[in-house]
Amino acid sequence: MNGATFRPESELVPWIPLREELMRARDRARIARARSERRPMWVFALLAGPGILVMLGENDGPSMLSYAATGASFGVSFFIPFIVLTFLLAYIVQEMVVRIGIATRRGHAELIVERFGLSWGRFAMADLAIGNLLTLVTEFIAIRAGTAYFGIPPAIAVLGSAALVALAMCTRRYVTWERIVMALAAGNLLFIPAALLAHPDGAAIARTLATWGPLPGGISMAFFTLVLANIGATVTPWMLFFQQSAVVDKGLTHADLTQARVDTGLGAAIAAVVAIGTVIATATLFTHHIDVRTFANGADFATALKPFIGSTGAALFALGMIEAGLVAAMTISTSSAYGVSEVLRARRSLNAGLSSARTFYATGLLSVAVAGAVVLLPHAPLLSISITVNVIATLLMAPALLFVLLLASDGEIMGKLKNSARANAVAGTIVAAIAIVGAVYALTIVVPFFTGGSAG
Amino acid sequence: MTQLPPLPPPRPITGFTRVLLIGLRVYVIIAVPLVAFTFFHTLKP
Repeated sequence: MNGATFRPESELVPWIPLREELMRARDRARIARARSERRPMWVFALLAGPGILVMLGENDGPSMLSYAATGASFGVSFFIPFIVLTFLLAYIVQEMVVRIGIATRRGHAELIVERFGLSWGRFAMADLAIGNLLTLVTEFIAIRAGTAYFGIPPAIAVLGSAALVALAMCTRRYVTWERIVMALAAGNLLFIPAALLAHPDGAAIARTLATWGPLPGGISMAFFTLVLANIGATVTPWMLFFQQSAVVDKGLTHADLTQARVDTGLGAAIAAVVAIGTVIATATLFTHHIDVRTFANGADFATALKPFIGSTGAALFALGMIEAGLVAAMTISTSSAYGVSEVLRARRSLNAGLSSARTFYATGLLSVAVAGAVVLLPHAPLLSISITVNVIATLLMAPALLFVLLLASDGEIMGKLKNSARANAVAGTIVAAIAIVGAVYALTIVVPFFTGGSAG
Repeated sequence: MTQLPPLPPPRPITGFTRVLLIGLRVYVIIAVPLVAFTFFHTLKP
């Protein structure tokens, strides 16, 4: 061998950066340039995205229905300050996720595998993939209902929106995908003009924010169910997986922590305002004693609102429902793609080429295709799916939150970004409260089956 | 694959974390049949 010494293959083959690394490096260079030019707003504009998207993505079809039902059942009441509180809780949980992503540069599912073993990683993956698939079905139900208000046939609505989700995912550029989804997510704001067209009483809203009252009908089962539904509409497992993976895919570093926190806080604030806007818009149904207990979708609410907020307001409401389903379909399918690829150790990035990250893109696209097909199937068990989605999301929130807390408290991987003892006490209390509330909510749905009642 | 700085190897799971994870395992064993039951029960016409 002419005296040549053996060298491992890894030393002989030069390291060639992957497409996703090149794209990320290009994005980082733009951020570094903006920093060197001392343009803080531009730096924020470049770094914002995961936080705003996760919060507006969670204002999805079922969540907007919960807010609509809340306004129609209780009017301008206790629930308006309560929604502010739930988004504060969401911020506290998601801020931990941001820190974990920045400190470890690993996605949530990947980190669960590394720190707690493959069995917990597989559990997280299965929980995410199944929960997300069923949630995607409910998003397409929301899109179908919203488009039906405008007389668009279901097949065109579902196939068109699925194609849009797929096209956005296949741009092979994280930044492009993010900007497309953010542009669409701006449609979430349509609920605000709809609320203004209801001519809300500003003094009553200010009073309810200050006093946490009134509470028409007192504490009843309907009140309790809506409390739980509103919490379930704000904090769900896919959000944890999505934001941590998006933070990693975007390449955020310690230097970006402040902007990432502002991004998450801004997202929570916008989402809370929209949620409150929805409650205010439908509060007019409460004022006019309209019974909404048989309402099944957004189109029912839009139609009922028409005499009170006009055809423009009702159309804005229906459009908002379409947007809510569409944006959530984009973020939720992406969170499935990240989670499954992380556990299977496959390449995972919205910057990766289609052929080089087959598992990633196949998971995202397949979940959208299956969910869209289910919605179009005649006699599909859509009610079963909608109820099961709530049960899965709320029951499985406890394990997901526990892992967040354990990871955020792990000094070995978190370094300086580790939860302080005080933060752990606050976050631990929130996690315990959300877990208990989630489990109780799931039981309120499941127990009636055992006792022979209706699931509602 | 992407060049990432390695994380420190995980320590053996002991103490409070171990108790939490055992509790979680029990919780999951109860939760999964509940989810399945909900889905299949609501399938009934």
